[in-house]
Amino acid sequence: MVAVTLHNITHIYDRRVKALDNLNVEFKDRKLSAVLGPSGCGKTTLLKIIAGLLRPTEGRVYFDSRDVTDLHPRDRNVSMVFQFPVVYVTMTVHDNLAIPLQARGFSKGEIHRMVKEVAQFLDVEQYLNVRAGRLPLHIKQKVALGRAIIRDFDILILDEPLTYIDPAARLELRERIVRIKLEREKTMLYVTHDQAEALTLGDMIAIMKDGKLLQYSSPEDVYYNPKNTFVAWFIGNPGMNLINCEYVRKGEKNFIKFKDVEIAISDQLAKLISDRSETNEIILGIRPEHVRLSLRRSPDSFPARVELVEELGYLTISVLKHEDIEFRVKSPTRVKEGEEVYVEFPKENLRIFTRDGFLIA
Amino acid sequence: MGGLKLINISKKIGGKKVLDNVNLTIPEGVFTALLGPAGAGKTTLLRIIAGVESPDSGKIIIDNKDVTGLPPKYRNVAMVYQTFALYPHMKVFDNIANPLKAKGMKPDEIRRKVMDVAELLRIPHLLERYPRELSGGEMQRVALARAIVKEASVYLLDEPLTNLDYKLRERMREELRTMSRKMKFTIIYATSDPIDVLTMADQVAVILNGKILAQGPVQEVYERPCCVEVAAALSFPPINLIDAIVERRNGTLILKMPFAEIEGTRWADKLSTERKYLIGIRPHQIVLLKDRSAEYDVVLEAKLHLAHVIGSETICYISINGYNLRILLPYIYRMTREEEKVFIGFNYDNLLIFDGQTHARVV
Repeated sequence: MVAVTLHNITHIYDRRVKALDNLNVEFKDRKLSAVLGPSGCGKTTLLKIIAGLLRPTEGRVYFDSRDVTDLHPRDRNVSMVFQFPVVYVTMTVHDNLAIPLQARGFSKGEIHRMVKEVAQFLDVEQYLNVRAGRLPLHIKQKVALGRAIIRDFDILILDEPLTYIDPAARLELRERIVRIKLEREKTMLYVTHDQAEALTLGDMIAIMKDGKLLQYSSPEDVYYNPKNTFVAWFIGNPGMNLINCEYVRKGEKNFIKFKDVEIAISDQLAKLISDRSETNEIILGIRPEHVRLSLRRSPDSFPARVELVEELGYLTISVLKHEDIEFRVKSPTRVKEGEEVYVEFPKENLRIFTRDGFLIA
Repeated sequence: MGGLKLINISKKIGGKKVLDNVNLTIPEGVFTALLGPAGAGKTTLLRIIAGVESPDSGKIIIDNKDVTGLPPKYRNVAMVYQTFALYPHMKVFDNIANPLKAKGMKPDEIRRKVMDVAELLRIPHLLERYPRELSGGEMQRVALARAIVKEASVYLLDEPLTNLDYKLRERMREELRTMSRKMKFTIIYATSDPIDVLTMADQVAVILNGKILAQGPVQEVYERPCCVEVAAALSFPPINLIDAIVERRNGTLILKMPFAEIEGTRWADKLSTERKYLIGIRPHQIVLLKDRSAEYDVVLEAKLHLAHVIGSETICYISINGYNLRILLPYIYRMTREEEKVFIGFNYDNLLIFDGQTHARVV
């Protein structure tokens, strides 16, 4: 039971490349935190610092209240699985799995029992006496995963473990990782650039960009309440629509407005906008799957033209334009390119950001 | 009318039949996807069209002209590869200009054409850079620009989006589609990803083991696949295929699946008790229910093993009596515990029924 706290962590490579920029986060105890971000955002540097493979240029690392910044990796009780499976190719799967136990002085009988149990769990029993070098990549990765979990660990770190695994085999490994999470209840960190993996596996998601942590919250929160416009766009296929708007007040009533479209908003939201935004210029965010599309006009709808239709089979993504404002809709309603349709932005799904991209409400 | 026509193309490589009597008609201005798994023969077919490889038999007609014996440079075909294949020592401008220089075009005309194409692909700011200074998405655009600048009759794209991350793929799909519409390009786009086909193509040809299994407008092939293989290739997530047999009991027809029996009198004239069947149901046509009391033709109890959230949808992996099925939910669903108990529902109308031996669709 260990929460991992990073306090003011900055890391600079070769005195010039800033990989992490004053990062603060407390990765929750006994949860799987997915660390998500585009390549080059600093994810792997972050993991190395937690595992002790890298000493941060500045800042401290805590496991619960214990400062481990100066602790050797082997004294941190962290297990790791990497992108490429690390196995001893000349040794059998059995012996590969046994290594972490031998170093800890278990008896032969105990080792045998534990190896068997893990092999069963990962469905690699039939390979126990096969040399690891002869196995396909996804089986090797299972062995690497087995070696990481066969002993008692405080923290399990997985660094893009499925990137090089064949898509068909990925699913099985993913399922095993979910089971480890649910059964072992340990603190797990899972680095990935794939949002689907992060949303599927993560109890919590940390989104990084340019060495900074943009948001650390539940997958639902990341999806529904992105803290800024980058997260809003990065999560979702396609990401959230972002439309430049103006906040206007007419008598007692409050609106947000783009072109000739006015959307009435509550007094409460109006107050938040005037408190948190320095100008009336704001950004409206709405997810493509939340936009309501209809072939008929309704009181709250406005017209738009279908510019482009992309079928997914189960849903349709269409690119719509109202004057020169472009946005995307994901809906089961079939529309045709060139068609005039009516669109509604349901109030409960609107998100408002400041012009520099921070969530207001 | 121009376009491309392939007649009876066959090809063996190292004694193995890679293409087996391929016939394909691609009208001018139509975006055609060539869909098939790795090793199906897609790349060989593109290479034969481009002229870098010759067929053992058959003809290639481009713009009503038989080009079968012509070398690549006389075919007016442009190709874009998965790996971009840019010249590392040349700036972006020169990479794009290269095919025009080879044609002996005048410098100011080259300049104008390169600028036009750069504008179209939104890369004017990259022209003075070297390939190593570009991101994957930018390199792909430059490779496309180099193909487009040739003003070819046919553009061959060999899985050009495979090496891009999902955000870029999302954007490139939209751009490719917009551009092909606007410019009325004749495109053959080889891919193994059904989403590429559904989102971009007008027409699809499904290829497997060197044979074209189906060809036609995307929506038609999707909704009425001729066989199991076509349904499987053009479905995301992969279609569920369930073994079934037919029994007659007291005058009613029963379709027996490993985990359930459904009444099948409606298909009485199409099914026989003598044969085995495969029932296809697309993951999005199965719904997740809270209880049994819902208005679906079939409601079953199932165990949920994994909820895989893919953006704003979820693929659920469930099992019924040990039989695995995939379902797609159009919303985010998260598991609360291992092997959650759930109910699923689907309707008869959404079932595709295939013959178990011939794999042809019967319903």
